[in-house]
Amino acid sequence: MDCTGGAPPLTPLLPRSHLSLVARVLSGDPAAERELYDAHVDRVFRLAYRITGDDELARDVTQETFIRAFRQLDSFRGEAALSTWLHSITVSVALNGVRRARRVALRETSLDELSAADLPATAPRRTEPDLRTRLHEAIAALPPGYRTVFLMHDVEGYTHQEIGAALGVEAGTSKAQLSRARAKLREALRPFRDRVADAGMSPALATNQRGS
Amino acid sequence: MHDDFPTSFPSGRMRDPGDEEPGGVTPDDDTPLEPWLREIAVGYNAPPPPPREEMWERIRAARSIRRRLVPRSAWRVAALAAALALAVGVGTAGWWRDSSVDAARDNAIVAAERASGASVGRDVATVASVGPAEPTAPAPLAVREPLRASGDEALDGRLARPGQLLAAATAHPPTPAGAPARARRVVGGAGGVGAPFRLEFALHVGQAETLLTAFQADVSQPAVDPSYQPWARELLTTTRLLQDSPAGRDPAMGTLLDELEPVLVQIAQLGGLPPDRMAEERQLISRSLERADLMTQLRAALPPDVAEIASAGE
Repeated sequence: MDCTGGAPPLTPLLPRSHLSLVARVLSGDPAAERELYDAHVDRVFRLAYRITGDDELARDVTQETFIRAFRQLDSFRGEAALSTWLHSITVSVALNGVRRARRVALRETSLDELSAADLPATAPRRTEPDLRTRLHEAIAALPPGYRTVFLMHDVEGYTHQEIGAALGVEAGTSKAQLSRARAKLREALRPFRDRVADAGMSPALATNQRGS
Repeated sequence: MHDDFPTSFPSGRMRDPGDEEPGGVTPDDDTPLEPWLREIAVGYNAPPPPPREEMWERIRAARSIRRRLVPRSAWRVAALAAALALAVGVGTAGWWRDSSVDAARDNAIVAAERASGASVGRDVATVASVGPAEPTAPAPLAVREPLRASGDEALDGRLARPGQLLAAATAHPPTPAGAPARARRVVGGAGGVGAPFRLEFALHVGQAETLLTAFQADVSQPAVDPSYQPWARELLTTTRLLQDSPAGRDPAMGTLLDELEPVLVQIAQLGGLPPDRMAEERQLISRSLERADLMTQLRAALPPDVAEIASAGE
């Protein structure tokens, strides 16, 4: 099941209410812990899933984010929105998780190669990727920093200020990285575009035809 | 759905990154992503609905394990601090007779109270990870002062900063009895990782080794023992807690924890697999265990002085 229809609203809690919620959590109120979790879990999970692309890993990241948040809540000064603070933990945990998963995948590579050698020579060839596949591959190939900014801004709708706060960079840096990410994506799609242009089709039509 | 395509590409093509103005300025620096491209991009890693209750249960379980772990560590730190302070007190008795013995007793009580009263993981960790202490001029009554965290020193919590506790406990000159030197070796070994964390790490490694040995012994059995998954999940939680602790920041311990974590994840996830995949996955886990030589690493990771740490910490 997919829920791409739009992200829940950002920062649903007002500063005063979230500060009082933090105070209640710090005083050991279990209901407040659950309230904080309910208010933020959807966005945290969405962000974790966008970055990791793996259901189990996204769950682990979400859990780890809240475990860390509850543990470090006394260091939350209320200078930024609680959501921004939570999202900065999410991004950090998710990127670490992706790095770890990659290390595991690298270790498994030799096994995969062994298995591939056992495949029959008549195994079906991979079909020419359509625009959707090509774009998704291009996003996956972006450097992690660019990809995170791109996903947060163009896909999840975060502002540059929010991204900057979550990643610990200036908003201008976020803008620059987004611009470079878009340029890289456009460059990656250029061969596809050229073929489509030669055939006199619109990319959108080509996507629909090839994707069907 | 894609009717906006012509307006997005008035020239009938996408911009080339090479389309630069004189001076190297790219004209489309702030050009938003074309709507139809964004529409496709939204499908990238499209998240399913979050499993709220399942994640909440795991968070609660992990937090309850941590609550059990931290007071135990705090108690060990308290006992260790008290033992250190008392040892120093006894060792320096010949130097300062009546007054110094009283001060050492006070010191032990304050140290124990201070350490046991602050059962906050990070703070406990800082107290535990003490560095080598430098002897200072004899000042029996002054040793209690550094324990009172105040002003900037108290920014991070309710405890003395790293090194203060042991520095205070060893504020007297070293004694011929050698008690402080022995204590420093126990606490300050393994790159400054505190004894409670080293002990917790050692116990954890022992448990992980037991699980993995049992798992490997059973790998040729047709069915997987269902107890492995909750066991692995529990060990996984502790692994992650240790990764976040000073033990995780230690190069040797941290690397081993990083190696152990994915294996535990794989075992913990076995339950959701169909039978044919499960057999394959078990073989993969077993082979990766052999290739990484994880069992040997786990067995080698038990520090030689674990018994000594245990006796000091309990």
